[in-house]
Amino acid sequence: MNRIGNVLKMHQRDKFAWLIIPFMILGSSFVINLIVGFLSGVGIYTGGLMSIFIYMFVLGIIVLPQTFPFAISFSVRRTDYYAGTVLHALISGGFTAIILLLLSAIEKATNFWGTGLHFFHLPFLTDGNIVQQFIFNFLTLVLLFFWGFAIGSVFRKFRAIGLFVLTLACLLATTIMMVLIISKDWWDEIANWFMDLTAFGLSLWFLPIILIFAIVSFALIRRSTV
Amino acid sequence: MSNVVEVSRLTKSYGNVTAVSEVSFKLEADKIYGLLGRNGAGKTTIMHMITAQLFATSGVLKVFGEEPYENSRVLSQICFIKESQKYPDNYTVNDVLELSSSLFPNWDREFANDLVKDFQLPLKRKMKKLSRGMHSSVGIIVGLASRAPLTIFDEPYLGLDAVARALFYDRLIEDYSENPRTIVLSTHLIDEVSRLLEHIIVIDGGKVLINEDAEELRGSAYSVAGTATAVESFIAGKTVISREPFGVLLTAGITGRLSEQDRKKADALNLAISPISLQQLIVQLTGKKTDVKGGAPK
Repeated sequence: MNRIGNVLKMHQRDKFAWLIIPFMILGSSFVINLIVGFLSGVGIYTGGLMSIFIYMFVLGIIVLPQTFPFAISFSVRRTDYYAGTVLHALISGGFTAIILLLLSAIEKATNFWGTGLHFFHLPFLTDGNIVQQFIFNFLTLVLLFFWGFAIGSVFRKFRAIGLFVLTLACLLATTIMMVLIISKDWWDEIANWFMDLTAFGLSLWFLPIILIFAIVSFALIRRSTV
Repeated sequence: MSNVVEVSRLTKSYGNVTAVSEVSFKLEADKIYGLLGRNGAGKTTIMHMITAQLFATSGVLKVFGEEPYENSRVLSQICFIKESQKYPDNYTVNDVLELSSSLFPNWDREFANDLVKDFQLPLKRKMKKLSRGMHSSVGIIVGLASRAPLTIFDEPYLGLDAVARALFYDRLIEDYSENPRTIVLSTHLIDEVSRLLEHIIVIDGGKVLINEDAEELRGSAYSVAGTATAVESFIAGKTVISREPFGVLLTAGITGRLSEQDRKKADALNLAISPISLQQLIVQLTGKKTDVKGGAPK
C-alpha cells in the first residue's frame, strides 16, 4: 500500500482548490485585461499574472486546516501527510509553470492577442531561456506555497498566539534590518545587487528560503494534534 | 495478540487541568467495548491518544503491541469515527468513500455501497451541504466498511433519527458476527447500545470508575420497590445507590448480587424486585460524586 500515494489521491480529489479556482482567477483577470486592452486600444503591461502566484500562497495557508484534521483522523501518518502534500504542491507547481510558459509563448505568437496586451509575456520574467523561465515560474510558485504552508503549520501547532508572536518577531527583525541598513548606508549596494539580478538568478535565491520553510513546517506538523 | 490496546497510567494534562489521570485498562481482541461517562469525563481525550491524534503527558500506551505515534503498522489497523469529524470543503460523499477505500486495507466496497443505500445518502452531494444526520451517516459507513481491527465510534450519531440508529446497531452486530474485530463505542445513549456491549469501561473525572464485563455489571445492581417501611428493613446493611420516595412507597437501588435468601425475604415483605438498566446504574454512579466511593462495585 502506497501511503504517500494516498495523500496525493486525497489532494487530487480536491480539483476545485488545486486546479479550477486558480485558473478561474487567472482566467478572469486575463479576460478583463483583454477586454480593457481591446476597448482602449492601448498596449497594456499588466500584473494580472500575479494572481496565480498569490493564490499559491493562499493555498499553502488553507491546505492544512482543510485536509490535516481529515487525514490524521483517517489514520494517515503525519510524515506521509507532509510528504504527500509537498509532493502534490511540487507537481502542481511544475504543471502550472509549464502552462504559464505555454500561455506566454501563445501570447508572443499571437502578437500579444492582437491588442498589445502583455499578460503572460513580461519583460524581466521572460528574459532568460526557456529552462530558466520554467525554473523561475516553478520556484516562485513553490516558494509561495511553502511560505503559506509554514504559516499554516505555525497556526496548526501554536494557534493564534503562535501567529501573533511570529508576526511580532518578523516585524522586529525587519525593523532591526532597516536600522542596520540605514545606519551602515547599504542602500546603494543593495539596489545594485538587485539591479544586476535576473529573474532566474533571483529564483535561485528562493531555494534556501524554501528549504527553511520546508524544515520548519515538517517539524511543526510532526508535533501537531487534531 | 490478544490485547489490542494496553494503557497504563495514561495521563493528559493541559497546564493545571488534568483531563485524564493515570488511566489503565486493556482492550482484548474481537470484543465490543462501551466507553461510557459524562461529557468532559475524558473519553474523547483517551481515544485521541490511542489513535495518536493527541500526545499523552505521561504513561504507557501500546496499540497492537506497539507505540501508535507515526506507526503505520498500527495506524492502518485503526478507524476512528468521531462526532465532529471535519472533511475538506470541496469533498463529496463519494470522495470520502473512495479515499477511504485506499486508506483502509480491509475496506469492503460492496458493503459500503449497501450501507449508502440503507442510509439513503446522496453520493454526489458535498459534505458541507449534508444535513447533520447525513453527515453522521457518512462516518458510520466509513467505520463499518473499513472493517479495521480496532474501530472506534465516538458519539457517531449526532442528528441521526431512531430508525437510522437502529439500522446502525443492526448492521454493526451483523457485520461483527461475520467479521469479528475490536469495537469501541462511546455514547450517552447507554440503553440503546447496552445489548451490544460485552465489556464496559466507565470514565469519570478523568479516571476509570468501572471496568467490568457487561453481564457482570448488569447483574451487580437491582432495585426494590414497596412500602417505605418494608423497603427500609430490606435494604438495611446493603449498599444503596438511589432512593426515590413516592408517598408511602419507596424505590431503592442496590448494588451487589441478589441472593436466594434476599429473594425470599423480598417475597415475604411483598417487595417488587427489578433489574436496574445499565443507563440508570451509570447515571447513579457518575451522577453523585459523594456516593460514588461507597456505591461503586468492589
